[in-house]
Amino acid sequence: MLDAIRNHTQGWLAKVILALITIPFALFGIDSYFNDAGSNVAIAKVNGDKITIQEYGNAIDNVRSRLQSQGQKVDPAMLESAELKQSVLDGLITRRLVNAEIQHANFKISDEQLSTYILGMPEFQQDGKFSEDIYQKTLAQNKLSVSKFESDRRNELLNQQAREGLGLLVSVPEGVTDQALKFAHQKRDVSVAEIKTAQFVAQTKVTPEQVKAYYEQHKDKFKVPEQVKLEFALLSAAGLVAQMQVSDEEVKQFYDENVSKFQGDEQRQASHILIGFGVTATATEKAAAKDKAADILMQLKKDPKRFEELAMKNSQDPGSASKGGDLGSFGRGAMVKPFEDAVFSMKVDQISDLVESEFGYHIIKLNGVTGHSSSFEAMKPQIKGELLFQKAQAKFSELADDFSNTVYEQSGSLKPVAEKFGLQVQPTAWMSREEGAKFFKSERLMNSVFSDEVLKEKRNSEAVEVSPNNLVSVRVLEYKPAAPRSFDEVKGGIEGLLKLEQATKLAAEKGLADLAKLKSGGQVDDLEWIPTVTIDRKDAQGLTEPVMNQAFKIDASKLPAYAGYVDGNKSYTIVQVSRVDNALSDDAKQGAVDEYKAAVAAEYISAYGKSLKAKSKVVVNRKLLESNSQQ
Amino acid sequence: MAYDLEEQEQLDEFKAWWKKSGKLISNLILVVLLAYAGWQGYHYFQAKKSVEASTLYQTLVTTDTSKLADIQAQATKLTADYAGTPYAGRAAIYAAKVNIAANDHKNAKTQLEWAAKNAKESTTKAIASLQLAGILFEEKSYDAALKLLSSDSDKGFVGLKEDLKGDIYMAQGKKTEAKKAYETALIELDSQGRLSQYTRQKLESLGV
Repeated sequence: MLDAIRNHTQGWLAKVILALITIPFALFGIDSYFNDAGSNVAIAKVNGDKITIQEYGNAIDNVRSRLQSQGQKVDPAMLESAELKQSVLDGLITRRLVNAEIQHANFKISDEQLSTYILGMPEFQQDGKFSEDIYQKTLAQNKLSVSKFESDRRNELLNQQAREGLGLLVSVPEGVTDQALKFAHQKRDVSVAEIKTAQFVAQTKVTPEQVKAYYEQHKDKFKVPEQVKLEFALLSAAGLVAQMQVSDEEVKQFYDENVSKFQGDEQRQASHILIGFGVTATATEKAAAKDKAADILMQLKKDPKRFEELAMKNSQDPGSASKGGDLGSFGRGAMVKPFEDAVFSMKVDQISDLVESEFGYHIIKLNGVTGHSSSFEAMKPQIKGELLFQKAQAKFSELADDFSNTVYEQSGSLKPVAEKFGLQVQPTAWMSREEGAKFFKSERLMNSVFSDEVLKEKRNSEAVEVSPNNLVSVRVLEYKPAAPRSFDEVKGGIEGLLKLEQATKLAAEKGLADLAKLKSGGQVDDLEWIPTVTIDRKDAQGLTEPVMNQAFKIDASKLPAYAGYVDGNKSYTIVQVSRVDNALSDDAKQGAVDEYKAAVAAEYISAYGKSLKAKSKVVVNRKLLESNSQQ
Repeated sequence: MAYDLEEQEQLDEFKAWWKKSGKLISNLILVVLLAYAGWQGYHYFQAKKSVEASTLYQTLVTTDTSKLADIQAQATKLTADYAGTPYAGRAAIYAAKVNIAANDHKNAKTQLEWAAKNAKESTTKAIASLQLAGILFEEKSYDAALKLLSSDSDKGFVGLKEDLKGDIYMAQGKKTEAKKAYETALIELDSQGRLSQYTRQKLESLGV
């Protein structure tokens, strides 16, 4: 065979083979040979279909921005919690499964259904009608093509039909709702008596031998955790502020660009006389208007008191002329620019010169000022501070990579990085892993501290952004392994503990005896019962959670019924149920039934996902999922 | 045309071979192409059916539930003419639900039985048999209901079925069996879901 090929490298056989090799590339693209690299790595596979690490990362980012847009402060530790990661991944897997099932079961949405849906979307409505203009603009803003948007909406509708649509099918027999609601909305009359542990402590006796024996047995519990003494270098935007410079010009420029932000609550009351010229006025018309205005201004200069009278007679602003030119009060941004500039530069009772605007010539009188503006001078320190911090932030982002690289490349000491960036290397006190995580507000940093590289090889830790704009690298100065505490240090505590243990036992003995007596219909005189309260599952009436749990677990077939439990070291607690009420008003019942049906609908939907999962092959790359936080 | 003698030889061989079996091969290719076209056509037809069924189903579930006869007719059309689509089974269950609300158990049962047997999705089948068992429970045919619930079915719906079993045993006064059923239900139901709360409470009332 090989001989044949060699002999025919020019011939038709070679061409056939070449074609056979080329076909896969043509059909599947060269990237199918490389798709196990980088961001294409699968974090899970659903029936062989990959969910890439990139897709998963995007989903996590979406969760983050959704939480942030709800105004919540996002705790990075929460984003890295195993539950959240799992649930995000589960969501992606379910979506894949449902999409595959939609194909497989042949769910379809017609073009008419799709267009009806999009035409009805509230985002695109204007005056109660679909606006093509808003539609196109919104899509453009979100960088979506029409076909992509439509196929996304189609997929959304298919999901609604196939998955959420199961909720439409819920029908629950009355016998079932009755059964469930009876317990969910039941009311019980409950009282509680506590047999306090404390009252038995005096009766207990603990010998020194017992204390010693306990210490020997539980030595591993009496331990000081391992501790480290660290030094650290902190690069922070706040620390960089001192090196930043902001010129007065920059402050002024910022003020001018954002003047409306600094307006404060200042309002000005003014009157004006308008001598207008039309929009299409010729130079002569303008000049005539100007002469007339100048004439009025002259009269006013002689006798300012005639302002109202002259306004009524001459002003061509129909809104204000009848009121003697009064415009009422207004803030910045309400009037045309030249008018506003004039008004906001005048003193009270002053009459302006002629002010030209697009409407004509104004003569303005300032009547009063209320509220305060934030003048440039007043705002200057604040603006300067803001600008300094902005600059520091920009500088921080610029330096961050360099900082990270320096601590990594010169990992034998923090001095180089401190010198390079003008930082102080600061020491810490002794701290355990937990204390360290609190001190730096970062578990990740402490994980890095206790890694072999940092702890044993004494290298700089990686640079960790412990909070926004704060980058820290640490190194270990000293290390103390976990050590047992001495007997003398802990014997007092042990004695107390043993006494409490004994007292707890004594309280429980009495409690159990009392409980038995009560259950058999007897009386126990020395129990102090709290006044009876009526509770339901949503209304604890101040009872504690363990009492609530007991109260609804007690078999109430014979009343009064009792149960008891040991409440930690505190007491032995007896719970009494004296009355059970299953009645539910008609109104309340309707609501409760609806609530129950909604729960069943949710269960249908989750059962659907579970069913698809059971029928598929889902493989999750656990290692990748767990390590993903570090990247 | 031929570049050298050897190639000429091969070409001749090929020509001879083609003369002998060329017809067979071209026939084979024709058959494959036809099969492919048929397959494509079939899928096109299925998709067209599904689009129609989807529209009909949408109308069905938005029809006023007081118009029972109307709903009945629409569902029948879907089950009769569109049985191959997922919408048929769902339409039957939906119509059964409306019938149950109107106290017509007989029609509801027929529809659920149809769906339990003929629905295209295994999940729809499971929902139908779950609801059928619910009706039997209402009619106090406990054993028939339990038998239906015990038959093997879709993995996702085990929790709901066990929960219903528990309710039936409770009605029969069989507390031990009820407890066991509720316990299984709690393992199978969505632990984050609201329904599991109700099941937990029912279980608690049995003194666990």
